[in-house]
Amino acid sequence: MKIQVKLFATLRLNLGVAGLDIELEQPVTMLRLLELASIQLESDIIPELIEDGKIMVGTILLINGHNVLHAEKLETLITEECVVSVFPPNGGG
Amino acid sequence: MEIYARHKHLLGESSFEKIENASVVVAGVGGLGTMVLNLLVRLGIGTIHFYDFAEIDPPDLNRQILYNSEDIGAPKTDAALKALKLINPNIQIIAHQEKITKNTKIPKVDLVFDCLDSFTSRYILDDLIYPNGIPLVHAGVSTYFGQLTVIIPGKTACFRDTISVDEFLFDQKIDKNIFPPIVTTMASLQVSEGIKYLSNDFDNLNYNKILVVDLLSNSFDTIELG
Repeated sequence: MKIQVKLFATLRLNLGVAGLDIELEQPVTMLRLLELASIQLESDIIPELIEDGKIMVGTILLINGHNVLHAEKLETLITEECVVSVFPPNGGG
Repeated sequence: MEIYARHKHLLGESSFEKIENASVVVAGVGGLGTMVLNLLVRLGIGTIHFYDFAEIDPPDLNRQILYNSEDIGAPKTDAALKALKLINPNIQIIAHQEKITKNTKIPKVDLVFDCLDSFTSRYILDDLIYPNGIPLVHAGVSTYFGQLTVIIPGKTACFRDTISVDEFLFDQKIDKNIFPPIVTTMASLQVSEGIKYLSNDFDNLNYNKILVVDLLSNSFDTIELG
């Protein structure tokens, strides 16, 4: 199954990539997906997204528009083709 | 009225009548809020309430378009009210010089514009209006980037559940560096969405999705929400 990963805003700037497609043969957790993305990009994106084992403050991870904070966070299982959006919201006004 | 001659017919009589009869709140009169207010009074919104408690500092002048160098040190609400009345004296404008807290009595308006500068304040505002059925046009900005979404009770989740962060930790990390054009861009989009909502143009309204704007790469991306 194909997982489309989209990166936005400062992540796109810092990582130098707007997104990637990852081919999975079996379900993986969100954490594993990010590890696989790092391998495919040949650049470790984990330090940009995760701190002390938790999703970094200021990062939102969505699976088909559903925030994993409302599911099992980094342990949320990805079981079917989907779009994963990694989005750092902007707080200023 | 002559001031509305370039957009009244474009929007149509029916939509313009809704705009003229509408009442709105603008929460925060910084970068986003000053531009939102500027456009709302020119468009002819009937009644506008706005809230802020701060005074004008020199760094505000790079983007807070209702203020000038003579306003430094003045309450934002006073300077904004003076500037807005000069632009269009026909609008009913009510300035509230206060911080929005859980005890604030937000008027029963048709729409609220979120022009605040922290998620702590945004969640307080959300708690005040969403249960009362008042919709919200949210925008947030930082450096070269911004996001926008419209929250409509009964059609979308509340703001807190739409853009969920740990607000206390998040607010400590907000990058205060700001490229002024992203502020005016996002504020213009807020007003555009507000006009669509007031005109009942739900087909073109940005709800149940987040629009992410990147002025570095000139990209406008939409995140569809589930």
